[in-house]
Amino acid sequence: MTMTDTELARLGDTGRAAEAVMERRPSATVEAVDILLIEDDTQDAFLVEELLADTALSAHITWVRTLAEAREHFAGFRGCVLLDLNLPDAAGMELLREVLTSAPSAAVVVLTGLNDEHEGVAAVAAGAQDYLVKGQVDGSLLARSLRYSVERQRADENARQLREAELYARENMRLERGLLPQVLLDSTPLVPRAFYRPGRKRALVGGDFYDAVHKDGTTHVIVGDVSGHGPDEAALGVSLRIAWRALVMGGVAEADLLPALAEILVSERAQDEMYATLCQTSIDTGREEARVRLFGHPPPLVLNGGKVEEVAVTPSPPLGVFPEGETEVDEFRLPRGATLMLYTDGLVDAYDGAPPARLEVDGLRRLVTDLLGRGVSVVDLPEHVIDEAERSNGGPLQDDVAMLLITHGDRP
Amino acid sequence: MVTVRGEIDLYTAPQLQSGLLNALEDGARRLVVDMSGVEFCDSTGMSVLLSALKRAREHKGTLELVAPKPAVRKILEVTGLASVFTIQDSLDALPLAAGSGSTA
Repeated sequence: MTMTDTELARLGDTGRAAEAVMERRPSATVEAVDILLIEDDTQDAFLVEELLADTALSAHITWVRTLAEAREHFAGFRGCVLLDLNLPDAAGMELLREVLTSAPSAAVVVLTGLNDEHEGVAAVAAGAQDYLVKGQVDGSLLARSLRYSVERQRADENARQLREAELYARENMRLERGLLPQVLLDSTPLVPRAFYRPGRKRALVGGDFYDAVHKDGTTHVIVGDVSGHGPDEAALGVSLRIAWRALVMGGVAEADLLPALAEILVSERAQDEMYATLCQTSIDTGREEARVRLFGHPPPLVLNGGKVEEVAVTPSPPLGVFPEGETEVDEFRLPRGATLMLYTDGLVDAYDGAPPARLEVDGLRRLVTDLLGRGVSVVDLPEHVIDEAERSNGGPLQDDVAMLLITHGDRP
Repeated sequence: MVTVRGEIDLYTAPQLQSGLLNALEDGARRLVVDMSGVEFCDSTGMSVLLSALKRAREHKGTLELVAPKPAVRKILEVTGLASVFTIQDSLDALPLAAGSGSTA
């Protein structure tokens, strides 16, 4: 494609509409623009450079002749692509679509010939920011089109990111509802206090979950964590939590609950590499002993008076690692008035002051003892524990934290 | 032999994973992971090690952890994995065959 005139005139309507928009945002100015000029015709390319040289726009131009060459510049490119729609190795809408897909953050302005104006209109409909007719644009119009296109592209991108953030927030709410339910402890002497705090730098929730269900004179409590982070892990966490509740409510024997859950995990997981750590505690109503089963999970704490003790448990490997055989079960005392504290490992993985030391279970025990000593009630404890852990960590915790505190009350 | 240094967590675990998988793909059957430079390993790191162990076993191979620091050894014990992995106390005890070196 060659130019017939040296003067090009931008097409009126799109340009004026853009100006009106831009004038309402006087602060949005672009100082320098990176331009990727994709043009096989040497004369046309030279002309673009000449036109821009005469304007106030400070432009850094990279000139390539083919789509193949251009591909090397697309990744992460945030400037303006000035695109001839007739290249030796690609043309038309197919060419445009590849550029738009490969350089999603770039503003694309299409160059068309005098007889191909309809192509320019179609290009804008397909996602280009603007089109210019060769032979009808002068320097200042070209500069303005480029500047506005980059600005509009940024505004579009901001809007897109905002939409994405909203979608993530809604998805998180849905997942959190599935992972962190209302526990079912009515008609028991146990008082629950649940707490969840998402970790930093994460768009999606992790797979931390908890639940508690009373069935036939025994209350079963669980806290778990699907290793890894992402939608698959969170979804698996939801599946496991609901499956566990169903198994308990369906009257499956206590010793068979976790082997059954392991089978469900293996059949439901998206990849073989997904495991779950968890802690299940079972408390018979009216008794002061409890049974605990631990799978790759840090042990629970018992808070009694001002004292905090780590429950001694023989840990099994995480669920889903090996075909489940016999599961270890340990007993411990949970006197009336005492509180059982279950949590996920995001809490004990916090730094203990300076790196690399971590809080670990012992550090958490110290921290909780200290808080109880300062008169913090069990109801307020989770927030205080997180605050102290964050202080120790030197900022928000990396991983999500779920906590479930169960107080052995006096009422029957 | 894969030598690991620093902290294995959510952000660094993928690096370790590709290091271990590359070694397996290169035909290594006996994976020896030098843990002496590792300060911390979270559950993501543990599941990466577990996956590598499973893959190694599928190819009739092994995965050994060498010289974990006390903090890491404690994590292995708490998670019930101390009995799952073969753990060597020091590198000296190893009759090393030639292997691919890699860091994560």
